[in-house]
Amino acid sequence: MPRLTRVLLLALMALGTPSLAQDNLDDALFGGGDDLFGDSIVSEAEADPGFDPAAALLETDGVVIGGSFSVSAEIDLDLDAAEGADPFSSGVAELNTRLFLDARPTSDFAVFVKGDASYTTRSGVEFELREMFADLDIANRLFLRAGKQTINWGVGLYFSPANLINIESIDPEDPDAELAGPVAIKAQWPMGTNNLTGYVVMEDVESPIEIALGSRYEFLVGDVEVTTGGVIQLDGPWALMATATGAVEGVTLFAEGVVEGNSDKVFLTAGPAGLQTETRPGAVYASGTFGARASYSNEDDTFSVAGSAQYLFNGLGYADPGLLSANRAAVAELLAAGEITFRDLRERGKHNAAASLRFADVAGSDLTPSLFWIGNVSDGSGFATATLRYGGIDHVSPSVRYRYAYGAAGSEYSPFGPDHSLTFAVSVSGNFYGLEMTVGIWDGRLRGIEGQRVLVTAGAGGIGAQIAGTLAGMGAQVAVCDVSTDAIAAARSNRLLALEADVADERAVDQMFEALVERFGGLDALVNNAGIAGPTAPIEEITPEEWRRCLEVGLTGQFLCARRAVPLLKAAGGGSIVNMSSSAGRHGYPYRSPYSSAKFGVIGLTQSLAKELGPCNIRVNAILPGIVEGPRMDGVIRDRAEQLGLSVEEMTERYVERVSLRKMVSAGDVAATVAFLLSDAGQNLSGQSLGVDGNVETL
Amino acid sequence: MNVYSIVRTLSIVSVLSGLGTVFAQDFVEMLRTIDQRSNFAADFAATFTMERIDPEAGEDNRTVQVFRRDEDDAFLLLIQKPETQLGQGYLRIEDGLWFYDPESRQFTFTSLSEAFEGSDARNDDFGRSSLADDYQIVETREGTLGRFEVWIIELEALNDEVPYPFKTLSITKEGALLLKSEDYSLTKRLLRTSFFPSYARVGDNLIADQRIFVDALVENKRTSFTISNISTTDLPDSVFTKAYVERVNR
Repeated sequence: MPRLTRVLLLALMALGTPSLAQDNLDDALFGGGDDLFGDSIVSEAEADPGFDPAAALLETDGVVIGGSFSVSAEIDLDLDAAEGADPFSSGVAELNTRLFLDARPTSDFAVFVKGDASYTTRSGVEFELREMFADLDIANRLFLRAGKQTINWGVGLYFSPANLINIESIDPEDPDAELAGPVAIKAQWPMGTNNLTGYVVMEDVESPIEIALGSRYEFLVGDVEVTTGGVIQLDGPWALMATATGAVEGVTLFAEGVVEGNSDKVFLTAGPAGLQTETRPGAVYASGTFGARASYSNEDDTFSVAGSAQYLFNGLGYADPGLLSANRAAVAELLAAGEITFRDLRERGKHNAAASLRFADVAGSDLTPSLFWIGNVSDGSGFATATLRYGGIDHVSPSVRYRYAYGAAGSEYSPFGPDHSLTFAVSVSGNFYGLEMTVGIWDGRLRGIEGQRVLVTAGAGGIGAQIAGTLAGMGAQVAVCDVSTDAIAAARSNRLLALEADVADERAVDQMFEALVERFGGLDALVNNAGIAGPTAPIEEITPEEWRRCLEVGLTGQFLCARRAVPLLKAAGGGSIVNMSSSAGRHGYPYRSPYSSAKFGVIGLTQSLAKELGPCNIRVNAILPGIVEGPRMDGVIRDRAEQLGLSVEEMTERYVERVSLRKMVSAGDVAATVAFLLSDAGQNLSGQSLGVDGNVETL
Repeated sequence: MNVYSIVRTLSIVSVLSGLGTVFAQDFVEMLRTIDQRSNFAADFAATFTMERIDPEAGEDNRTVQVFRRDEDDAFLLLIQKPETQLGQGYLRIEDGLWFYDPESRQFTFTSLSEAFEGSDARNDDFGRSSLADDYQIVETREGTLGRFEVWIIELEALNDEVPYPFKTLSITKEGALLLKSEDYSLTKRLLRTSFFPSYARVGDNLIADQRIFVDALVENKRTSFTISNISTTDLPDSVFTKAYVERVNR
C-alpha cells in the first residue's frame, strides 16, 4: 500500500471518530509506538518530467461535450386582483438545455461552440447560439479569439454603460448571467498585470463600413485596476470608456465613465401631433456609474451576508421620463411599428439605482433570503423583491418571492401602475460535463506519415507521381518504380528513390525490393498503384495476350509486390497496403472486360489480405478512382468515342453524366485519400474499398 | 471552506517545505531558513484534492489545479471539481488578484492589500512565508509528538497582517520538519490545529503532500488535503495571464 494512502486511511480513521482526543490524533498520525511510516515521513515525489500541467488543460483527446439542463415552473399570485377575478394571474413553465462542444487538438488551437435550446409555455421552442469561436495562441504572446464571443468591458454590477461591445445588457435580477456577445476577432497581448486588447467587431455586418474597431487597455494604478478603451464604427456610433475597481476596508468599489457620440438611440419627443421620434447624431453624451459590494462572514461561518449597491447617471436618459408614461398608448404604437425598440426604453431616466442584500444559509437552515431593489429615480418607478430560496435538496430549488412595483402607470418599472405579487417557483437543474467523444479530432493535418518508408508502384508518372509527391511532401521516404525510363529520370530529379521495374515481372520485383531494403532498411507502406488500361474492344476482339497483360500488370503485379512487402511490414511491426482498384472494380465495364476483371480482382485481393494480415497490424484497403482527369483518361475517352461514333466532347459529357457530382476527380484527390489511409487518421480502416469518384453511378 | 481558504492553506503550509539541517538551538535562524526554503525557486504546479467534513455544512470535495511562480509573486488556482464550479479561477500577478467566473466570463479585481470581500483571507494568505519577520519567538521547549522528538516553538505576531496572532509549532529535531501547528486568536483561543504527516521531496524542496486541518471552533469539522501531480518544470509565462484563464475555460 502506498505510504500516502496509509497516511490518509489512518487519518480518516482518526478523524472519523468524533470523540478521538487530539493526543490520540497525534499518536495516530505520528506513530506513538506504531511504526506505520517507517523511519521517515518523507518520500520522493512521483514527478513525471514529461508532463506539462499547463498544456494539459489546453488539450483534449477528443471532443468534450457538456452542458446543463433545467426545468422550472412559476405561478404568480396577483395580490391586487379585483374581487372575483382569478388571482393566479400568470404562470410559466420553462425547459432549458445548454450544450457545449469543446475541441482542443493542440495546446495552441481550440474550438468552442455553445448553444441553448429552450421551451417556454409563452414562447414555444427557441434555439440560440451563445458562443462559437476558435482560440489561437501565437508564440505564447498573442492570443486570438475569433467568432461569436462574450466581451465584457464593464465592471458594473447592475448597470454597465462601459459594456460597449456585448449585444446583451445586464439583467439586474440576474447580474451574473453570461451576456451574449458579437461576432468579433479579439487579439489579446498580456504584459504582466496589464493587458492590451484589440477588437474587430462584425456583428450583423453587411458592408465593410459597418465593421467596428475597438481597443482596451487594462492596468494597475496602485491597488486600483483601471481600464480604458474605445470603440468606433465607421460612419456609426463611437464611444470612449474608462473603469476603475479597488477595495477599501473590505469593500470593493467600482466605477465606470463613458462618453459617446453619433448614438443610434431613438429618442421620443413631444411634437404637435403627439410623440415623435428622432435621433441625435451630432450630440455627445456622458454617462457614469459607481457602486460598492461587500460581504461578511462571522468567525465560524455560521452567518454570512453579501450586499451591493450601484448608482447610474445615464446621459442618454430622459430628464423628464414622464413624457413616456403620459403617452403610454403612443409609445406602444411606436414599439409595435418598430420605430423604437425596448433597448431605446431601457434605463430611460437619467438617474437610476439598484441594491441587493443576500444572506447565505441562515443558521445552517439551507434557507437563503435575499432582497433586491431597482429604481428609475427620474420617473419615480421601481420594484423591490424579497425572495426566500431553499437549498437543502440537491438539484431542486424551490423559492417564493414577493414583488412590489411602484410608480405611475407607463413608467419604466411599473408599466401598469403599483402592483403586488407573489411568485412560487421550483426548478430542477443539473450540469453534465466530461462526456468525451472518442473520435479523434482532425485539425487539417495528417499525422503519422512523416518518416514512413513507402513504395509506390508506377509512381514516376500520372496518379502514382502525385501520390509519391504528396507523401514525400509530408515527410515520408518514398520509393517509386516504373517501366518508363523518362519517368524514372524525372522522379530521380525529384529526390525520390526511383527504381526501374515492371511489376508483372517476378524477377524485376524481387530486384526492386532488394534495392529498396538496401536503401531504406525496411518498409512501412506499399501503394500498389501500377496498372494499365488494357484494350477497349468487344470481348471477341480481345486477344489472350492483351487479356493476360492487363491482368498481369493490374492484378498479378499487386500480388507480386504484396508477397515481398508483407514480410517487411511484419518486421516493422505493422503497416499499410493500398491497392488501386477502380470504379470498374465495382461496376461492369462494357468493352473493358480485362481492366474491369483485374480491378474486381483487386477488391478480392484486398479483402482477403485485410483478413489475413489484420492480426499482424497490417491494414489493407483499396481505392476506386472514378473518372480521373488527365492524359490517360483523355485516351480512354477518345478511343471510346471513336468506337461509338461520337465526338470527344459528347463522350466526355456522357462520362460525366454518370457521376452524381457531375465532375471528374483529380489525381490529387486520389493522392489525398492514400495519404489519409497511411496516416494516423486512417488507423482503424482496413478491408475497405473507397470510391474516389464523385459517386460513379454506372459505367 | 471557500477557495480563499485553499489559497491560505497553500501558502501557510508552504512554510513547511523549508527544510535542512539547522542548529536546533538557533530558532530564529530555523524560522528564517524555513521562510527561505518555503518559496520555490522554480515554478510549481500541483493538484490539490480537498475533502472537508463539516457537521453543519456537510461534506465538500474539491479539486484545484495550482500553478505558482514565487519569484514573481504569481499564482493561478483553477477549480476542477465540483463541476458546478469548474473553471472558476483565482489569478494573482504581483499585487493584483482577479477572480474569474466562467458563468459570466468576467474577471473581478480585488487588491491584496485589503481583506478580500470580508472573508477571513488576508494579505499574507496569498504571499510568501515570512515567519521570521512576522513572528517573534516567545518560548521554546523540547517535547515529543507521537514517536518524533520535536521542538515546540511558541510564536507571537509582530504585526496585525498575519491571520493568526499566536502559533505553536512542533518541528522535528531531526530534519526540521514541521509536523503540527496550533493557531490561536488574539485572545489565545485555539482556532485550528494543522497536521502534516507526510512530505514529498521535489528537487530541493519538500512539500507536505498530506495536510489535515482540525477546526477548533466547530466540533468535528476538519479538512484534509492531498497533493498530487507535483511538477517543478518551468511554466510558460502565459499561464499567469487572463488569456490563459479564459482559454482553459469552457
